[in-house]
Amino acid sequence: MKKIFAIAEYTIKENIRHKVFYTILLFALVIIISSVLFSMLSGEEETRVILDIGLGAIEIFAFLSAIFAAVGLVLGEMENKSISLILTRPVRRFEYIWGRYSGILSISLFNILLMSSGLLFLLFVKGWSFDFRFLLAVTFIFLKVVIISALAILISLISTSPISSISVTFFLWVLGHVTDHLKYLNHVLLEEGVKITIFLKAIYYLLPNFQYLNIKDYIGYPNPLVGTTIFWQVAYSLAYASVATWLSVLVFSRKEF
Amino acid sequence: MVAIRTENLTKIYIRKHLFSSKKTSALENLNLEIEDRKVFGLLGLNGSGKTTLLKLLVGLLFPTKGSVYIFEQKFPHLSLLSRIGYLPEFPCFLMYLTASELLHFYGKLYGLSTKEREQRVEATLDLVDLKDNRNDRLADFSKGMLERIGMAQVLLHDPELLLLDEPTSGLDPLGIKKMRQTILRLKEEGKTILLSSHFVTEVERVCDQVGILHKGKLKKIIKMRGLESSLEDLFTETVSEAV
Amino acid sequence: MRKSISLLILILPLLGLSIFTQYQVERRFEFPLPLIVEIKPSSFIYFWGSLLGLRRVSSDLAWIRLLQYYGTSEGEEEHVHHLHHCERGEYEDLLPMCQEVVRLDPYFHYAYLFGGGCLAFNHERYDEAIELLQQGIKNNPKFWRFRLYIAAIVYTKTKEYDKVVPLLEEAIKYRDCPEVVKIFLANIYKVKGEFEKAIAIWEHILATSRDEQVRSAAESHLKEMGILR
Repeated sequence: MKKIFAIAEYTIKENIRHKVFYTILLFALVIIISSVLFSMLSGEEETRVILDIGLGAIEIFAFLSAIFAAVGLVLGEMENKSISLILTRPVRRFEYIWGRYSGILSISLFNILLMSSGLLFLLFVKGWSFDFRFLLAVTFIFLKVVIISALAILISLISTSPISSISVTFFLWVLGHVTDHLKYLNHVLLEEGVKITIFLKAIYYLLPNFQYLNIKDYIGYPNPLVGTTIFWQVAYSLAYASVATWLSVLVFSRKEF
Repeated sequence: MVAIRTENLTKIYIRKHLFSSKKTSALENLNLEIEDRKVFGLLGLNGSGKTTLLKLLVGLLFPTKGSVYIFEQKFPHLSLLSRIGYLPEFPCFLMYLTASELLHFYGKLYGLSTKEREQRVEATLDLVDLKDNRNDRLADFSKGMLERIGMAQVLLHDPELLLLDEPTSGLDPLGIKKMRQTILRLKEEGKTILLSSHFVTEVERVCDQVGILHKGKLKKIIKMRGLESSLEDLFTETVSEAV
Repeated sequence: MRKSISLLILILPLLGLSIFTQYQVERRFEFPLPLIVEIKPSSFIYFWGSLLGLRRVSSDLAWIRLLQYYGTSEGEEEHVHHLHHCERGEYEDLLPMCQEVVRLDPYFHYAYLFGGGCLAFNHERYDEAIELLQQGIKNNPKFWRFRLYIAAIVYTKTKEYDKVVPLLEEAIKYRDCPEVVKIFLANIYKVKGEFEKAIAIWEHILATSRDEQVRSAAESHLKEMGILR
């Protein structure tokens, strides 16, 4: 456990000493603030637009910073071989992966909290009355990051170049938001007489299902989520992320440097 | 006691292409025994398998066949890694850390307590003359300073077995001399050292025993004490014989 | 090898758990947004927005585009003056644009209210307004104000203004009541000769509207009725 902490700690240090980290944060804050400009064009719905653009920016930039940390730093460390000075010490391979992963998550959590407090401040200035669904939306943004970071690590262990890791991760991010379309595709194919239901169903369950975690997109949904659904959603995110992370450990433990 | 023993150690690299795979044999049936408290030199041309052997001994590579015993214990074994110090040929560090942060980080990986760590880090930095640079980032270090921090990370946890991959390559004459002194001092302290090199003269000066590695095979083991002909002649002879 | 197998033994139940939990979520909760093929996004921005899980943002952008198209201020002011003489066929795309906004976010209540209000009270396109509001009822069955608006629009269509008034009086009690509805009610009051009530609404609009031109329209109405000089 101590070693996982040590690795998480240096991942955090590595992140905050990187210019990219500040660029991402700065850019996010600029977008959140510029949402005010958009809100001026939106007539009576000012706070709605600030809220939406703000939450969107938080998610996109949390996603970007997680990708940067998972692909840029982890893959970078394997490419420049500085990893060999870590693995020749009494560190188990799973400790390395889980340490890296928890470091990335801590950074993401910090990012998300910082950006959300900026957004909250802006909303309060604009006379928004607090809605607890905001917290729910932010929490679920974090859960999405929990899943995508785990996947990004796994992908960068499998693929060889940063570009391919980033594009595959991005591709999964998009697919995860349209998983319901697989059902539609199945329906269309069945009408055409093509029967690959089981195959599609397998893909459906293997893909990360971000759609259901994307609460910020249906914040106005009239039947709000109940506690049990939230429980299962959280459980799903954690289970999925740990599958991905343990798969990373599996791949990593067979890797030579 | 035997510090390192390998049994039929074989490493074949498999490079997978889309439809075919290419196999290159880096080490073949290597049987080697190195006694403790000795300096053993691995001599060989580039690509003879020296680095592969060292990497197998620290678990960065997995043997295709055969096994490794370190201090009579089957490797890989996690606790053995705390008794080994490894210096890669081109050490690459976490450049955004400062010297002392780097060593503290490595110290944590050995599970050293804060107090022990502080003590060890200070002592090691002192040993490699980097005390005044302890709070400088590695990114700002000169090449020579990076070499020294490389040695510092080897000595940090006071290992019994040191594996040094080309420790003198890229050093200036003064650096080479210092490295030689360090190695001899460590030997006096009772450490076992395995170093690889393609500089015959360097090996000659510090080693008790030399193994000549050529094309993945151990061709000859030479005891330096009482050696009559020059090591250089022996080496070139062995290598050209094999060709 | 043994290590890999033991890892697999750990991973497989976790995978099972992940599938099980996803199934549990689905069982309890149907994904509440339309498929992208149903949205038929008119611009690649909305398409990508939907792909990236940014439907509310896309809907907001479509909403801003709608407002730009409708030119809130200009449009409203014009129709404030010529309430009953507006030309039909103006702003042809108003309904389809509103519909796109609410296809992207079916729970955007204000878009239905605004669209319905403008279509009915500014353009006398009652059927289109009702179509939009019925869509709203379908997506938000619990949001009863859509029904209120529909009732008001139906009575406006049949010119039963006496029945319209109480409905709109109810509607304007809410903070998110579009200005177009308030203006319409003020005009009814004026036509019916209930100047005091009309004045109250215009004063309220003058005080609260963010729209320069709506405020100046309110001012001119108030001047007309001898309140302002």
